[in-house]
Amino acid sequence: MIKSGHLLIGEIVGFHGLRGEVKLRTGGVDSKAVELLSESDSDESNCLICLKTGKEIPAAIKSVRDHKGNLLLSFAEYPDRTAVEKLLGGQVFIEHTANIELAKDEWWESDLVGMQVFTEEGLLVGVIGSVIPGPSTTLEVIPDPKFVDMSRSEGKTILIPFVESLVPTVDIKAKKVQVVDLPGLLEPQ
Amino acid sequence: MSRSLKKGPYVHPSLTKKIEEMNRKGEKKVIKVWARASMIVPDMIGHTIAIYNGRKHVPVYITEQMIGHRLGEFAPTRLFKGHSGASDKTAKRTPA
Repeated sequence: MIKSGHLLIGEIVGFHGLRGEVKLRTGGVDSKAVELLSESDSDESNCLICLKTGKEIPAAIKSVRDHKGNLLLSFAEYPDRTAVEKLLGGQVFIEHTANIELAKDEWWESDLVGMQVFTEEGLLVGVIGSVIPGPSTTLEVIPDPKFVDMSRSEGKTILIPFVESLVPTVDIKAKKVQVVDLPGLLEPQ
Repeated sequence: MSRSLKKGPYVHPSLTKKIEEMNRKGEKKVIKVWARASMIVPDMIGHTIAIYNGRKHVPVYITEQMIGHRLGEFAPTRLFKGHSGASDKTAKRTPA
């Protein structure tokens, strides 16, 4: 679950010690988000914890530290272990849009996923299903039934390298991405 | 033991032929290759090559920084998508 305008930091998977520290599994959290968390030292709520029950609890992050590949967080509202036990399984979000400035040609994956992909002629290709990280970032597009023959492309996706030459326009506000229709590029596989 | 310098870099002959033909005509299209061991040479810059990863062809746009590497390095055969609770990340677009 990704909340709009919020950055998912990770999931609370356990506790550490008796002073209310929770163990957060981040799955390789973005370094910018960690920097932001480390800077926060106010008692005002600066994050949102979404429990498994669906309840959303605002909280103030008191401390952040790295521990064996996981993050240890403590919250101002939860001073001891007994208090934090009810947060187990919750997902921790922080607002990202207002706080983190991204470089040119950089976007949040959660913003890209769900965007519509069009060709230069305005033909709808499909919707971005995921962003595949790796040596070269690739957009995985779920094809639109009108764009491809679904009888032959059931369960297949279109892979597009995330480079300026092939993806010249990314319009976050309009939720649209424009791609170049290079022969052979927009074939589902 | 490394490859003899006398031979030059290994590039699959059919791939070389296709790249040379496209460069001569000045056209651009995606080339499907299975030759993951082929080395990336300067002639390939600006072309999009769909490299087979054992399951499907992953299109990769060839840039100057990739020269000297093998094609297979850019199409991983295994992809770890992470455990639950994975956090949001940024995606960077490669400049043209």
